[in-house]
Amino acid sequence: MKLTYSQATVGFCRDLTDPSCQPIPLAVVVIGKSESGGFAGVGYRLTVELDLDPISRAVLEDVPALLKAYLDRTLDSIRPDTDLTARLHGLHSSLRNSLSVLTVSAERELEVPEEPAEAASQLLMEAVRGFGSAQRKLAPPRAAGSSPMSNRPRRRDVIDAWESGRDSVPCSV
Amino acid sequence: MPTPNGEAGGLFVQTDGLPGRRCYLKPTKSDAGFWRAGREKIAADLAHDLGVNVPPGILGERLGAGSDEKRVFVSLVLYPLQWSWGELKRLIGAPTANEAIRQHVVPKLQPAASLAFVFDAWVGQYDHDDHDHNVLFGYDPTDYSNGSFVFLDFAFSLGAGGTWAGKGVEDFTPGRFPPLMVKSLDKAAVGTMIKKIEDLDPELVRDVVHRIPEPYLPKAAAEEISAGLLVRKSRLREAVDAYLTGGKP
Repeated sequence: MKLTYSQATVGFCRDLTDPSCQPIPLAVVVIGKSESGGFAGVGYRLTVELDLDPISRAVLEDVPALLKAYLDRTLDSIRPDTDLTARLHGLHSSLRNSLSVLTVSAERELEVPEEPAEAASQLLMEAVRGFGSAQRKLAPPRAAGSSPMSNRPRRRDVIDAWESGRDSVPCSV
Repeated sequence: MPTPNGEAGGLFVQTDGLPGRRCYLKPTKSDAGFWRAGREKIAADLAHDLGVNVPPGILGERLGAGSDEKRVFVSLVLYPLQWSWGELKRLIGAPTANEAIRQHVVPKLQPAASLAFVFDAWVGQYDHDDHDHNVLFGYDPTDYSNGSFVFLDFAFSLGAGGTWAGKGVEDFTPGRFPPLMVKSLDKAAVGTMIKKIEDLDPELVRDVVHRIPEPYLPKAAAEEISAGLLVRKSRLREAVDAYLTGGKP
């Protein structure tokens, strides 16, 4: 089966006032189309413990659900002629502050033997595997001896891909 | 150049005048006679005088803009952390509100909304509605209990598109504002804000509008805006009261 897909990386900026702040990649979304219809997925991976205030923690823990809600609205309108990259630029336009879209890929094609949602899960797992080193680089661990924060976010992985009219295929990294 | 956001094509920039701080520039798309930058500047300056949290900004000329708009408004990014309304309203409106949101964000709804609701009605800002991005909550993470709601994007306010021409200026339709915020309005604070606007010196209002240089706002448009603000100032109480009591202004 031939799939066409595009993916976007979503990141978190810890100081929006600082022009040199590099957002930490947290999530990947993929949308695509195949002969059987549209598919989409969200991969979220946080491998470091960020020292966060409780409001940030609450918002970041909601990121997978926030992105899934966006993709749910998008999925039903994916047609064979849908410009997938333009759809992800719509996500870029809707995340403009501490959460933002860091990259949007060009459309790509892939030949797969399995169902689109399962292929999407594989794509997402592959994409978020690289997050570990990027997150460690941008959010190094606290210095030894510093006091632990009670509001640290849990380390967390979420991979969830689904097709129009079909259940999701959650996986773990 | 980063990909611009939204209808007007805004993007984060740095300016020579404020090194080390990130700012937001808009529009990049051709303005086509909306005078977005001038309107943004007027709204930001009036908001400042009235204590409404709208980012301050300056007018600028974008060099090398090519076919893009070169008359722009550059506003300050106020807080290290800024969460869009679209990200927060899911949590505020959730059946089981998150404790941090309930404790540190929800209490800020009422005072901010009560000021901004009246301000929006006065300046004819209809672009807040339940817009995911034109309202945000910002704060410094070292003092997260002192966050504030911030109101953005006044490009289509002040009679943009000819909506204040003729009798249109008297057409008050307050209430195009996030429903969760409308529900939290405090009538006393609303009344106080109306009084603040009523008490504004008409000369101050005219000055805020007419000091915008002509390339950013033609004289005829400036005249329409300043006259419109003064007309609406005198009708604001009636319009807002009618809305809040369920009558049509």
